[in-house]
Amino acid sequence: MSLPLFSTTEDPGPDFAGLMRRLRVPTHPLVSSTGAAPAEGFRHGTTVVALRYADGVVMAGDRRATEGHAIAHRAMEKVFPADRYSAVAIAGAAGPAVEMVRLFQTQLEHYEKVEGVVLSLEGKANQLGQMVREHLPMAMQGLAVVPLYAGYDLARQTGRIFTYDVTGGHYEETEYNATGSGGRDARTTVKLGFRDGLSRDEAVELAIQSLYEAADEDSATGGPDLIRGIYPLVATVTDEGFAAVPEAEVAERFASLIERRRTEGRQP
Amino acid sequence: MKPLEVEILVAELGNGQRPPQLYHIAYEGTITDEDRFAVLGGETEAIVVKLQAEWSDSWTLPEALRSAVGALAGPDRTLEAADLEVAALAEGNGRRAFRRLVDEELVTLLG
Repeated sequence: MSLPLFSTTEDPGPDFAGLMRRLRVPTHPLVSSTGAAPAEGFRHGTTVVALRYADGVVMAGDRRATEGHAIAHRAMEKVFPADRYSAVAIAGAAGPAVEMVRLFQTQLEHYEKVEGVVLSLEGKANQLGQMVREHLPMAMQGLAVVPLYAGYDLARQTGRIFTYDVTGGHYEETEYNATGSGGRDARTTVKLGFRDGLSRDEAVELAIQSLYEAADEDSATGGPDLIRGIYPLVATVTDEGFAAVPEAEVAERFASLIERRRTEGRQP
Repeated sequence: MKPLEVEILVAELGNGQRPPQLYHIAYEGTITDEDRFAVLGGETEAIVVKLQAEWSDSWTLPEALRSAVGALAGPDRTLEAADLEVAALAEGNGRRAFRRLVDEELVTLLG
């Protein structure tokens, strides 16, 4: 085994995908040169939400994947740690989205190994933007991937959230945002309960409420599945890093949310 | 050390039965196993002596870090977070056992 050596003009630097191309590692682009992707036959992930609170950010995603009008999977995971201090959540075509997350995780590690320093949060958000932009031809064929990126900025000592569009444009959100088919309902719910400096409990509760409302309005968003015991994934990122909110806590919060609605005599 | 000589340290976590291991690879390729600590570079003697006296298998991360930094600095100077490159290898660090300690976290650990 020997190290790959490149001339200065050929050196891919800290770009992992570039390194793979230079080494001629075969890749299998999903994009075809002609024709559109089929409207059905691939899975869609739906609603994810992120909001800032006093100690960082909360990120949450429902568990449903759809294929056309059918439910394709009930326990899909859409919220991932990107590295120690950031998280990425995905909505859109499930296959390429999960692949993008894995490549993004690898890219962040690769950058650190090659450069010897960790990218800033802004830099990481930029890298993800480039990956989304490279995916644009597939998005044009109907396989759009729209991630949500959030993390704790160690330099600024605050949580930050970035949203994307299919062109790779990334936009910083000052408070909260949601994406996916139920994103609008989730966003409205967060909007009604949001204020600066929420506590962790309040922020997790608000994220859970927003997914509950989104699932109530949007057929592609899954609510808490009390029968199978499947609940949305919730995670926090603070100065101590990424932490998944324990499933038992999520289950408990949904149970009390439903109970509260019942005793208040409100519709679910 | 002479110009263009290279020394490398490879550190490996244990797996339950086997304790963590340090492999010190010298410029000519000889490998030395270390199970407590390793010091690389030109003037290592004073640092080794200090670590021999202080090393403990019950060290926590901040204790180990402060001792290592103290030994590296020597008696006549102090090293600040900005002077150092620090990483820790541990289980439970997520996808990678390797983790850089930077910024505020390093300042806090140095105390």
